[in-house]
Amino acid sequence: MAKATRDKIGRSIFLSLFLYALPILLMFLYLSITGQKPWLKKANAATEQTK
Amino acid sequence: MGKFLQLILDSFHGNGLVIFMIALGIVEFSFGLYKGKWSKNERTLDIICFIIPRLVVRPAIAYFGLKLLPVVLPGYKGYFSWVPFFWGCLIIAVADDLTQYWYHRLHHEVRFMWRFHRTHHSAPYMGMAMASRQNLIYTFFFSQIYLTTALVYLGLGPAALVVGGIKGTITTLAHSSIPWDKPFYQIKWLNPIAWVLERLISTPATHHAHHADTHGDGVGFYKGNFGNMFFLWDIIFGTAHISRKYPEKYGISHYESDEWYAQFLWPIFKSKIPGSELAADGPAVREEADAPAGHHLQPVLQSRETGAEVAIS
Repeated sequence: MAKATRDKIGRSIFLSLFLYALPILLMFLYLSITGQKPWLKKANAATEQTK
Repeated sequence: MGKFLQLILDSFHGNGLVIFMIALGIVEFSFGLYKGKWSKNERTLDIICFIIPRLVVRPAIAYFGLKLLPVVLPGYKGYFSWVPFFWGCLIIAVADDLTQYWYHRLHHEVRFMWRFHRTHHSAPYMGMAMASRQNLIYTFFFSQIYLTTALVYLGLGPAALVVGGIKGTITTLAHSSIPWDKPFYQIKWLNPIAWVLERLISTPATHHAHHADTHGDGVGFYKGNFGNMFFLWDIIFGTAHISRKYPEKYGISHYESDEWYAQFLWPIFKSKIPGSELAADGPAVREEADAPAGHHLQPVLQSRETGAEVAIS
């Protein structure tokens, strides 16, 4: 692979990792602002089922 | 309403998309959009590429999803089912399409990978006939499919179906020989919508430019425009070219109709066309003598005599 291409791809990897994480970060930001904890609902439902 | 939409997209993602592609293909044919370029060899390749992956790759993915994931990630089935639907859609859309952007881009920029993707570019026409045209190995290692299957296992199934339906529609329409985006450029009051649309998703204009047999003439741009559902990745990574024009010619300038079986199953079967990239002694990336820019960022020829790679300046 050409060095210029390799460098360009290398730089883009960090930006890509940020883009992959962005919707997850935004979701947790939204949930913390609105005070929602949907994972607790799931945990409670699982506990109810095992009773 | 949400469940109703999900049901529609669920059904569309299965057989619906296939029916949509066949219907669109019939419209394209009735308008004569293939212009007599669909030879027996091209026809055989296109039809096989349309059918076989649905018989081979889908069962493989089902196997991966049902058999391997519970072994690799035991106890994690539905672990993230609490993720709200909207956010699940956004997570899947980015994970799936950004992975496909890189999978696609690397096949153009990494020399040894090009021949696995060449089959998709060899078609001298655009349309439903060539939309599924891929080498079997390229299809089998379609990395984002496995990523999406894993996310479905983890509990993001409904979101994956919705995103899959939307993505399938956008990529199908971007490959179509019907330039549905043209009115957005021609009608003045639609221009602002066009500006957003062509930067956000793949359109016939931007994706056809990627399939042009020329590069750098103001329209053709096969060294970029790699985005599938989102064109936004090309904008972000600097690989975008927007001209609002459609190329005159598609395919690979030096293409000489390699046998359908060689295109579908290279490197298992090799092309008998002398000098072809798919021939047993062919170059990894072939360049035209009068066109130093080819389907690669650093054009390289492989010497027939020595097997050594020779960079073209």
